[in-house]
This record gives sequence, C-alpha cells and structure tokens, in this order.
Amino acid sequence: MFCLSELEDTVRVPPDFLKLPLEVAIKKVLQKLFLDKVLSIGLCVSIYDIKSAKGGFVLPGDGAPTYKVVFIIVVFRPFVGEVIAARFKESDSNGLRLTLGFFEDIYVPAPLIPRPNRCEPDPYNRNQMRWVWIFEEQEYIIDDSYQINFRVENISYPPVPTERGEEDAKLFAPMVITGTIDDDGLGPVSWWEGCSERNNEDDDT
Amino acid sequence: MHFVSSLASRHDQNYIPTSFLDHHKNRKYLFSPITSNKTVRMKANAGTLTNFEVLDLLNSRGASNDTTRVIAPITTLEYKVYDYLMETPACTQTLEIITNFSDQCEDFKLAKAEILNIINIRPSSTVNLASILEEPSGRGIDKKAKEGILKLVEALLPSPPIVEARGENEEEETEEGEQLATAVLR
Repeated sequence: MFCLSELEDTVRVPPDFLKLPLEVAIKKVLQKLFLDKVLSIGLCVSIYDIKSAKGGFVLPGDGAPTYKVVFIIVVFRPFVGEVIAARFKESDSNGLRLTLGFFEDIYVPAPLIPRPNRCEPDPYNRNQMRWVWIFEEQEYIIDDSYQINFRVENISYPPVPTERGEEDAKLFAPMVITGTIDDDGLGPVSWWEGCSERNNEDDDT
Repeated sequence: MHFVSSLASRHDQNYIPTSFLDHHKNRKYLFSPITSNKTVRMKANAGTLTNFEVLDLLNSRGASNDTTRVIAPITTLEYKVYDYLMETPACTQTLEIITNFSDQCEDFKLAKAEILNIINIRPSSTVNLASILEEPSGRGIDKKAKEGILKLVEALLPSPPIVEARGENEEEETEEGEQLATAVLR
C-alpha cells in the first residue's frame, strides 16, 4: 500500500525558519509542499528522510536561502491486485464509495458488485441507495457495519480541471482508485465469517 | 523580451508579456500543476513498505492514541494513517515476525505482492486467501498448499485486533461483534 520514493527538488526556506536547525526547517517546508498532495506517483503521506541538502544560496532580491534537497517520502500507492480493508462511506445508484480515513476516493462501480444484486433506497438514510447481494436465497446488505475488503482494479489520476463546471456537485479528486468486491473473500468481512467450515464446497466451485 | 509600446499597458495588472507565456508552454511538467511547476527529478520506487513498517515509523516519531497527540511532531494526515493502521493486523506485528514469515514463505513460491498482501490482511481462512492468490490452480498451489500457508499464518502472524462493528442498530451489531471476536480469538 505504501512505498518509498526518492525525490530531488529546489526548496526555498523562508527566513523565519532560520532559527531552527537546518534539517527541521527543510522538513517543515517539504511538509508544506508535499504532504497530502497527490503527485504522479501517488499520495504523499510523510517525509521519511532527507538525504542531502546542498546550496543555501540567497538569490538576489530574495531574503531566503534556496537549497537543492534530495529526500525520501512515504507514498500511498496501492498496486493493482492488492487487497485492502476499507470502510463503507456512501453509496448511490452508480456503486459504492469506500474510505480509508486518510483517503476517501475509492469507488466500486455497480458492475463490480457481486451479482445477482439489487439496489434499493436506504430505509435509514434518505439520500442514499443501499446495495444488497442475493446469494442462495439469502440477502447480504452492504453497509457500514463491518470492514469491507476490496481488491484494487485500477488507479487513475484525472487531470486537473481547468474550468469550473457549471454544476460543481463533486469535489475534484486527483487520485481515484477503482476496486472490486466481486470475488471470494471480498466484500464485508461478515459475509465470509462462517465460511471456514464450508471449505470443501468452496473448493469444488 | 518584448518591449512594451506604451506606459499604460506596462502598468496594466493583467498584462503578461507573451514571451513569458511561451517559456511556460515549452517547459516540461513532470507533475500535474497541482503541486508546482518546478521540474523535480525522482526515483519512483525506492522500496515497498508493509503496513507494519509505516506504523512503526509513525510510532517511532511519537504517534499514540492518547492526549499527547497535540505535542508530537505528527501532522493530521499522518494521524489519520495511524488511526487506519491501528485497525489492521499491522498493530500486532513486529519486525521479527514479518521477516520470519517472509523467509518461511519461500517454500510456497508466492509472489512478493502476495506475501505483502498476506502480511497486511492476515487471512484466516481459505476464502480470504482465495482473493489474494492469483491463479492458484495454474501454479500448482493446491488445497494442501493453501492449508500449509494458512497454518503458517496462524503460527507466525498474531491475530488481528478486534475491530468494533459499527451499525445503525447498535445492540444487534455489538452482539455480532462479540461473535466476530470469539471467531478471531478461537
């Protein structure tokens, strides 16, 4: 889910940080620049280490030193095929939306929800739809009571919209993960709880 | 550089010299404009981390669940990651456990990604393992091998934390949560 990435960048340290030790100051500036931002390699979660900082030249007309910094960050980037435990966030007629707390743009579109299923208006929540899986005449509801295991199908980085759409219904998501719950062992954890005893049947199918 | 013909246009706030725009167009962006327009060289993958390693990193910096949160040098985003990881099996693992596990997994000829998945998810039954293994029948991983892997998981990886079930009907859900707890503890 996470990996390390090495980057090199030119960093300007504002003058009011100069009373701090250099490493701390550079780290603060890097955090402001990179933390919680989506790069082409994924979502930057944390600054892991600063390998080197060179330079420290003050450009004319500027009061702040500029350093060339080589550093390592922890990036959230799941690989395709990774199984992740997430929580249910909301659902609508297009599918489900799951969240990890720090990352909320995980979508499970309707074709990747196990069939046969049906979508009905949620009796507890006026605006939401509820998805129900029908298997062997038993109904399994998808809601926020348990962790939901899903497998990553695709990660996309939609380009930044240059113009504001007329109906700004959805906030722009720079990184979108598409997942599937249509496989053995995926979906809410409670679905598979009693399955350890039915091992033979599972292997036969 | 274009010479401005009249003084009025030089002082116009919206006037941008054309040469500046052209210069921007030719510069190659390595990132989307959401970050910056500086060119940044990088090595995208300098090592994959298991959930445990990230949790260990945050712990070593002083993340915790109690009121010292405000004092520790950890950002809000890092705390969200910490909260998430504390609900996964990563919070009960140690470095020796996962190195031991990945060494012993060599017998089963699993892909690195699958070992990572198993460490992060800690499957407790064949069904959970099925979503992780890719084409087990084609690679000769039969039922016996799957059971072997599960035995290894149970022996080496500690059981995951008991995640409280949330739900609209709280009474019913807590009962199911207790059943989940007993199933996990076995």
